[in-house]
Amino acid sequence: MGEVIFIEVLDKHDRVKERHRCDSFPINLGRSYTNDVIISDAQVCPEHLVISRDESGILWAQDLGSVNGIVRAGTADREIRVRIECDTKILLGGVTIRFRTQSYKVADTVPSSMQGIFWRSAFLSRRNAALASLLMVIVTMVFVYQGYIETLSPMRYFNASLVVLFPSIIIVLVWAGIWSLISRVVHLRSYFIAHFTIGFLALSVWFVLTVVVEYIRFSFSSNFVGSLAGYSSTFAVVTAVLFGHLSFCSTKSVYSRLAKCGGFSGLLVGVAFLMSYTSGDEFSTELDFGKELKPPMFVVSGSEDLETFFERAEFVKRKVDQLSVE
Amino acid sequence: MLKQISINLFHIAAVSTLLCLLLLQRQAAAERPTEDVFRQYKSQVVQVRVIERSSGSKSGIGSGFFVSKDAHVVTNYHVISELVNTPQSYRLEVILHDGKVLPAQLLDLDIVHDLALIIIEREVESWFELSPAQINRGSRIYSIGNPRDLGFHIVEGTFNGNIENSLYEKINFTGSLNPGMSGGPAITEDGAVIGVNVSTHGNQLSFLVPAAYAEELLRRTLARGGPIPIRFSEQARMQLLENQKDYVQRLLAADHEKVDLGDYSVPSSVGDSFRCWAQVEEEVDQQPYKSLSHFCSTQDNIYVSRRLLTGAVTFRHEYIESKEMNMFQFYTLYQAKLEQHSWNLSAKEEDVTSFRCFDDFLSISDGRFKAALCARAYRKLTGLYDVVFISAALNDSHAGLLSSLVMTGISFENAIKFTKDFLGGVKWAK
Repeated sequence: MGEVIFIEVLDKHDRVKERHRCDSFPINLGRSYTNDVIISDAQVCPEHLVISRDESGILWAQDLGSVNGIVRAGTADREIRVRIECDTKILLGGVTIRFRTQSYKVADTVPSSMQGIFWRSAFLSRRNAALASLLMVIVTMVFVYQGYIETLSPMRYFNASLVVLFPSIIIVLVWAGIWSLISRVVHLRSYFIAHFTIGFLALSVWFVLTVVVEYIRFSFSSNFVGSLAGYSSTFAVVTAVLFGHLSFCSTKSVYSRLAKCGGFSGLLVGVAFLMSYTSGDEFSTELDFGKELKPPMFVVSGSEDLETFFERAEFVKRKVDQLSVE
Repeated sequence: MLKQISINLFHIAAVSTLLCLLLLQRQAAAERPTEDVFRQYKSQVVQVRVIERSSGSKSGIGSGFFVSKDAHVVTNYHVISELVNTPQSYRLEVILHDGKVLPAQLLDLDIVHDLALIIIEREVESWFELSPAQINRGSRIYSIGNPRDLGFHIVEGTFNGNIENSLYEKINFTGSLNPGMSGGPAITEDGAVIGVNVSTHGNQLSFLVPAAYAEELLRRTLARGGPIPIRFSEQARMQLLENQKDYVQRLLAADHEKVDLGDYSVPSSVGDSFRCWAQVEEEVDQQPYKSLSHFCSTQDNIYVSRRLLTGAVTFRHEYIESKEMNMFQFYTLYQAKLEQHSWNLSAKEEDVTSFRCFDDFLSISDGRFKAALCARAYRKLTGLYDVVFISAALNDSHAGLLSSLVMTGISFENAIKFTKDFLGGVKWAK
């Protein structure tokens, strides 16, 4: 084993914190600056151990009479001398070090789709963040305009814009801040612009979808279609937003992230559906039907004749009969 | 000169005295019948009390009157309704004019006309004969009862014939009825029963149940010889079912009146059972639209319990038009108006279920409507429902017609029949 070795200092998750190339022996490890490899840990002695090669070329880690000694990973006993081979791990006080040779075979490269690269780079651009903000402003203006065209009372456009835009900005800033904190912990980088862009885009899409779902509910005159559109769009938006954010604060693969985000938003939508379903069991004297009315040009589904309408309405009787005996 | 003045004064005094005597005599003659009527018939009137069994306290009071030697007492259903709805918790008592308290038993009821027949265990010396009496509008009649537990009172009033435009026959009595007098008799000077005190709208506008319904109730009870063989609540349910069948048949057979609202011709009063009103609104809250409303109602509810009134039919049309609003503004207004048409029919969970609705686009006489049919079932009165139909015309970007029809205490099948008939009367002129 006459080759070069690498000493890797690991964190508690076995991720490499430091890596040292060693091509001549003996090598001293310890906390003091007289060592070849300095390990900054209070439980490591100033001169903790020495790594040397014997006559037959075998590498040994020798305890230099340290306070906490050396322990082979996976065992509990202190040892004076540990034989070093490729991937040997030993504990030095509170630190784990690993030895690897040049011949160590690294894992295959993880394939990364073009889409993933595109998304990540797109969100990292300041220009795109500005574009997202602009989109948000446009959506706000559209909402204010919609308020103008649908509301009968006079409007102050500037005030109305601020009423929509200001709370949105504050919500997105806080939202992006939380995600940035997570990114900072995981990747040691905040990616604030990326999180900010995703937040603004999500809010814009959400605003637009609420109106679209209302029109869909009316156009098809169907609570089922309306609910389907509402729940599926919620599912899609929540999945996309979480996936986007996790792209900047997770080390998992694309498929793993997608599955987790889909699972979470599915759970969220499921809970919302159950809550809405069970709230229907509470006694009410309200008439619960689709009260949306839009101009005739938005009608999509056909009209029933009188007989068909009342035949289909028969199920109402079955439902209330069932309720009356519950 | 002085002598002449004295003579004149003497003449004036003599004439004045004579006039006063004449007036007093006339007043005495007018008051005597009321006194006589009260004196003669008060022993035939009783107070009916519903007593809560566990505490022995009275839960409800009303009046009643003897209609047979065997001490059958006619009163209102609403006086004793608690006993019908929760018989295990209440019992009946009758207080005679002399203050004697006697237990009473319920024999039969007529929930539709708000009547009940009870009996006490004794014979009576005098009672009212329930035989048809014909009197003219404007005739003086007397109502006797025990208002607000203050003792027996007599109220003088005028017979004003049957009320018009109503599903259920009632007599208009121009006199002051007060709570506690319900179930008491309204009689002529000769003691002929004209009706049974039932309700008041204030300002001397009161209502009586025609005596013929009390007579029918007594007749069938005497023929049967005892209480009805089924639970009273079941009897009430069957009567309500029969009643709605009867009035829906009458409504379906009757002619519809029509009114024109904007581009639409819509059904108005059906037969002579409805009272209708119209209303016009323009530039409401400085908003540039015009609204024409037409509202019809039978206005008659059948009392089931303190919490539940039923048996009424109400409908409303509202035509809204605006040439100045854009179509989005107009439809925002139109939707708000539709929400106002979504009647909140208050009721308790113990009596009815929540509403369940079906909505879709509906085609009526070449016009397109967004329509919803909602229903809720009565929990104890099985087979009866409150049904609401609401429609909004979708034929124009700047005008629309909202129609709503509310039927309470009706079978689902009859509600559908009547709604179809109602919609057959909607025409779109364009």
